[in-house]
Amino acid sequence: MNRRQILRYTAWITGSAVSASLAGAVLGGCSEAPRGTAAVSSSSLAASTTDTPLLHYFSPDQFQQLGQLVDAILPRTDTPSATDVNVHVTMDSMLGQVMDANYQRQFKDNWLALWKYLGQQNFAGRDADQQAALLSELELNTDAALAKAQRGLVEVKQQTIVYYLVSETIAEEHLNYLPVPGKYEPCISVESVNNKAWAI
Amino acid sequence: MELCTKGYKTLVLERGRMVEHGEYPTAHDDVWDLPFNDRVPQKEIAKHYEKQNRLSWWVNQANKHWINKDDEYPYEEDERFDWIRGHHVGGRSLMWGRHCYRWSDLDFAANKEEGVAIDWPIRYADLASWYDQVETFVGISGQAEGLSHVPDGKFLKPFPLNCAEQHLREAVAKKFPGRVVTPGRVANLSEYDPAIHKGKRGQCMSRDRCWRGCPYGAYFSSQAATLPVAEETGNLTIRPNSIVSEIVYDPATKKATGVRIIDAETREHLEISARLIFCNASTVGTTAILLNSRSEAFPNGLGNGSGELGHNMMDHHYGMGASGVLPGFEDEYYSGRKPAGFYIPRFSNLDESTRRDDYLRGFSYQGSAQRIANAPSGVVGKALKDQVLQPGAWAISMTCFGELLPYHDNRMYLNFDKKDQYGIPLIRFDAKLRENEHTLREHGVQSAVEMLEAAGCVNISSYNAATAPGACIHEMGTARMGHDPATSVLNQWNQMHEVPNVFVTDGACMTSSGTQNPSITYMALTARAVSYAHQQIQDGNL
Repeated sequence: MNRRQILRYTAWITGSAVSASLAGAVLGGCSEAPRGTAAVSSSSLAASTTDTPLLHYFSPDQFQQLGQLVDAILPRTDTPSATDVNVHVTMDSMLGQVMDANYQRQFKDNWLALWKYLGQQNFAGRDADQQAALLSELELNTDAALAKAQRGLVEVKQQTIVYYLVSETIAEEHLNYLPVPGKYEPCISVESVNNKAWAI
Repeated sequence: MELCTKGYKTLVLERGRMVEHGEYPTAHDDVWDLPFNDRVPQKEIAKHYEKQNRLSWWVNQANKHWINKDDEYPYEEDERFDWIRGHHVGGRSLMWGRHCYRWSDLDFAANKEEGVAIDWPIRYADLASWYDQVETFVGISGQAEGLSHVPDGKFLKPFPLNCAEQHLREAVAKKFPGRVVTPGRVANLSEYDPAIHKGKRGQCMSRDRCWRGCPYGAYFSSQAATLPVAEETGNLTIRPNSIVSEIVYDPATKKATGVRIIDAETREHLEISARLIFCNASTVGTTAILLNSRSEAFPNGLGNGSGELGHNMMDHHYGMGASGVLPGFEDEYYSGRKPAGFYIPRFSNLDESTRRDDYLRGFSYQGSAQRIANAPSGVVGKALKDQVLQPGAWAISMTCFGELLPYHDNRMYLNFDKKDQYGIPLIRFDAKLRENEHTLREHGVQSAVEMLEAAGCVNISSYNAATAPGACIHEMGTARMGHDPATSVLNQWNQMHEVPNVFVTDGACMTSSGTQNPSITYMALTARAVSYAHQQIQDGNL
């Protein structure tokens, strides 16, 4: 990862600023946040040793709900859903093994608030359109009481999108994948690449 | 290479392992091919890379084989110092940022004019023709701008600014005459000419994976350029796994007679004799060898009569800058991944009209504009699916690189009470940013925001998290050049004042740090010093 690469991903902005840890996690971004020394308490997010896949961060219940949540964010259409490309597995692995302790703590705090809120709203029992409406409303809400749940959703959404876009299937089959460009063209029209983003 | 092509039998001693050109194991890997999306798990970082990864982005799956493990290669600190390095043939030439900017007399005369430290014993005129020579061989893509303080060089065609970067250039020029947004000048072959770019070189493929090692030889590295050319002469021998512990001095001849090495694999101690020594082990490595070369004549390190060896440690400092979203340009995109974004040369303290009362010297920027992921707030589900595969808004980022003044008190030294696994004293650092640097940083951040505002950016955010010395991986000083043997280690030819057959042409020789990335200057100094040494040998003086 070179310095310019860092620049590219510190500017990841998806409505609210992406966390430096997330940018760093996937794309080698720049996190200047000091790394904590204490290990995160895993009491409520204990990894399961009995389930497959082996979980590193979420409990089995939470992992199941995470799968629902990421598929509500990116459902299966004519392209794969988030869980089709294992976004939830990647998220669990990255949170449990790669993210630093500060980020783990912060994420956990927000995630638990989000989990609680979604439970209160019977998220699991709703249909796809209702789920999307609920999440959209939460992301846009300005109620201070929901700030943590909202932040939790934004974090999950950002991670979902990032892991989705850098999965092999999406990158190679659904984005413009050009491993060896051969040359650099500074200005082309978006139409000339079918209005699709570059995979890498 | 310079010595070999002049006919000298040359032994290159490298403390790390051999790496042949093309032995770049991750060069073709995509993010999804690498474990943990290219990141290294916390446990592994904690065990091996606690210092190497202090910036938290440096150690990745794609490049960790080029990075030392801290538990194998420890060092000590009075003040935090991020000494980031890898032991292998080619060293940092495989990992470098490749930006190449000429110095000018604004830099070479600064110490003298401001009464800081000591004067450089050279000026731009001494180096200009050597820049011409090394730039031509290395191959620097860039755009001539006619700036006297960052002079134009021998450029290949630039990797051009994209639409958003060009807009930034025009907006900044309009609002801030004197601030220039120009394509980064990098050692990547935008044009390949085998007659000029000798060795194992080739056309840049715009993959932007340079730091993994380039299978096309498209950027300058020792493996792709200098070593193969040296090898062709038949005069080159490379001995990897050879740790130089000290340089041997003969008081009778007042010259060095050779070096002592430890074979890293067999632990065998050997002495190798040489008529001429170029001690270029990277700034800190070089000075550590010299400090460890103690004799009756030089009890405090070889050629250290001045007492300056190890002092005046410099680097650039960064961890400051700004980014923002640029509205518009929705129909514009780019193709390929260029190996450089834009560069904004220093614009403060150039002359009376840009004079600052609050700090000396200046800063430059590197940055880029790209289209970011398309994930609008409040959009989820099928609506998001429709958008997420499309390019998002343009974002512009720039990070600022500041000059660090040469303070005598910023230093490295050896802890003779503590040895590494080879019995060599541990290196200890005692250097920090001081008031001038911190004041300069404020202006660097403020100016970045101003320029993004001038371009019409929104959602601008800035950051200023001062890095420790070393973190910019531009270590300089510690065996500085100067006119006077009483206050400097090297003369105007990079030759030790006190030991005429020892030359230092890496970053240790620097008398001030400038704002420019320094490597091309080391190369120019090296070619010049070899030419001088060759002349001295022919004249019977060495």
